[in-house]
Amino acid sequence: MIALLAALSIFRDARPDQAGFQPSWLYVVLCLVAPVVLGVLMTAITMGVERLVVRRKG
Amino acid sequence: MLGVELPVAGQSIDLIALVALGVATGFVAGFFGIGGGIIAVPMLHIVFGVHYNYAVGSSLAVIFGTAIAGTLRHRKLQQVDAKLGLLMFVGGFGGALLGTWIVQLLKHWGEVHFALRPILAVNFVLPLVYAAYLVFVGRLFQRESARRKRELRIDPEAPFQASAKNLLQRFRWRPRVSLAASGIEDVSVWVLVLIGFLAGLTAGLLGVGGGIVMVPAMIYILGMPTRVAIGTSLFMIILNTGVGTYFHATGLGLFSRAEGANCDIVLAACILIGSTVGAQLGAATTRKVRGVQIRHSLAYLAYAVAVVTVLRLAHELGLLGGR
Repeated sequence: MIALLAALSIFRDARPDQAGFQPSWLYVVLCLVAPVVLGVLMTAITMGVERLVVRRKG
Repeated sequence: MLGVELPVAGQSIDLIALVALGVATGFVAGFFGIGGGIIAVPMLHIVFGVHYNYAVGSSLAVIFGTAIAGTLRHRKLQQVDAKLGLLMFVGGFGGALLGTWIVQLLKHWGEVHFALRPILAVNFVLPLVYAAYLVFVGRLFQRESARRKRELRIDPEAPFQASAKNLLQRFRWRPRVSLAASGIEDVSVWVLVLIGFLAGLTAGLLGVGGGIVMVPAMIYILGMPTRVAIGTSLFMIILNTGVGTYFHATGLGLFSRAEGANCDIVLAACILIGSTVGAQLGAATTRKVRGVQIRHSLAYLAYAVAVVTVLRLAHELGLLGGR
């Protein structure tokens, strides 16, 4: 978890004077790419499991 | 407890509970054929105390991911009218921008006082807007399912058809377009831009895909075939939530970026992992239930979430004897 937070710190724009999480452009890219990658990956996994269950049931 | 630190929302939440919420919202989304944002956003605040602005921003990222994954699953999306989708997106872009601005403005206001109690403006206004939206959605589905039940009583094999006349097609404002793929002979571009704007506004403001607004509008107002309406709505959801995610991730403000980002990618990722699994389970369950019953139960689910949202707000304001 600490490693994850450390990794996320590079996505933060260093502006301690301003309130809230000030994102860098890398964070914005991450917000757009990560959901797509995760969504496609998880859908592929669940569909694979579904196919396996159907095949086992015959 | 396996706590997960949310870097943008600035709090720690149990990972298992968060994934479980994802499974539950994914199940509801898969079962009812909706994005799931209308359940995820209020529940993130009610169950975990996540401020509405972070719940909205993160929910958009979740819906953006699931909508693209959903489109990939339905590879034969020949029911998408891209021309119509892009025309509506002209309004959708503006709506998503305005929705995000309103959230940032509420965040900028900080605390307000109601009944002598301080509460964050974003946690006061958005639940009320949410409750109103949920009642609207509930009423829409209740009326539609009641009408469909009456039709089925007369003819059990009756095909699902839109009965309403093309209300907004009466507007004669120029420019006008013809959309063969949607079966629309002549419609004002402004009508399409307006529907897109409303869908974009709900996305940016409430963190929902906006399909609940778009699909009935396309079927009942534009008179489009249901399948094309659903396909085009999905295409619009990708565009609207993509833009909404971008705006909420950049921390777009009214006057500056001082308000910070609203999209918490860790929060979104945890929900997304659960929701993709839940969505498959929900979709599989629909095979055992009739469509009209599904829409009827969605109405009551929307009412229930609206009541819980208002009760939680009343509790936060100390109107129920607590804080």
